[in-house]
Amino acid sequence: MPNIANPTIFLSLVRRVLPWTAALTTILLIGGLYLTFFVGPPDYQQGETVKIMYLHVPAAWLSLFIYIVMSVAALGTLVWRHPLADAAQKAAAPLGAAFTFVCLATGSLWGKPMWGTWWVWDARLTSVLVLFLIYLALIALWEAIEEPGRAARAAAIMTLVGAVNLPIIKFSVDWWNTLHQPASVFRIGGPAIAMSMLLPLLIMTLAATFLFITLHLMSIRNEILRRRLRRLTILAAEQRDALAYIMPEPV
Amino acid sequence: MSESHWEFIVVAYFVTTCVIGGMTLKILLDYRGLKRALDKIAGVTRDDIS
Repeated sequence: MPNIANPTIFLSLVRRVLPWTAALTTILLIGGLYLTFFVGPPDYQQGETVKIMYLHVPAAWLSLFIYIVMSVAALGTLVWRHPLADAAQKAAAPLGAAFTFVCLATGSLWGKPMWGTWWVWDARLTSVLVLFLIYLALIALWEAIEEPGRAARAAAIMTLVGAVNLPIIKFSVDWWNTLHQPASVFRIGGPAIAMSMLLPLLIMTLAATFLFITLHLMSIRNEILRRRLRRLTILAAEQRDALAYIMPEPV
Repeated sequence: MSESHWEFIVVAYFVTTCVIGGMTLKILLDYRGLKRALDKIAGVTRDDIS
């Protein structure tokens, strides 16, 4: 197995893997959207509005999954000091924020016609909003601290502290009375959704997961290149200083 | 059966497309900018050495 901790090897691996993940994402997305709009039946209570579910549930899944990925990367930074862990963590935060925003926006657009309101301060909605704010805070933290090593350690600690919100999100619908429905896919006893709706939902969720993998790999690659650029800029400045010292300009 | 509320469905898919499409575009443009800057600085460093 190649040593992917080496950024150069990782970049060559990304170059080989990216076309496949992008192609798989496209195929799954086309298949999922086809099943959503042309095969999946309308719900007996919600009618066609249930089609928002095929965006909302994958986005909700990714908002949690990305945070789990970031938490593992945070451990990689603090415990194992893996050279790519902080790049993976930094690259995932904007993606997590984007998918959590989609989850909140589509949930609101689904809630208005079904519940009669855009928003309620119930435990599930509020805890997901807190997750969104944590993502934004992490992005701000990365931007605020100039020294990359310090920024990585601070962000890793904050990520691990924020992970306490994940079980709150997952079990909020069981622990409190919420307007949001209880779990209907990932639950003990199996999914409570008809197969005709479950299949497009699973395919859309898989498509969203591969989309995240693709975008995450691309973002990590950008982060590695950004660090390389930073190093080369410093090196070039040092070389210029050295040349100016050896060959001073004539007065 | 309830109403279909197509306007909510259309807006939900539009918002998702904009957010994810925008994110993808930002990552691609960032990559292109970084590659260009790296090529440029590699050229500058070579010129300085020679």
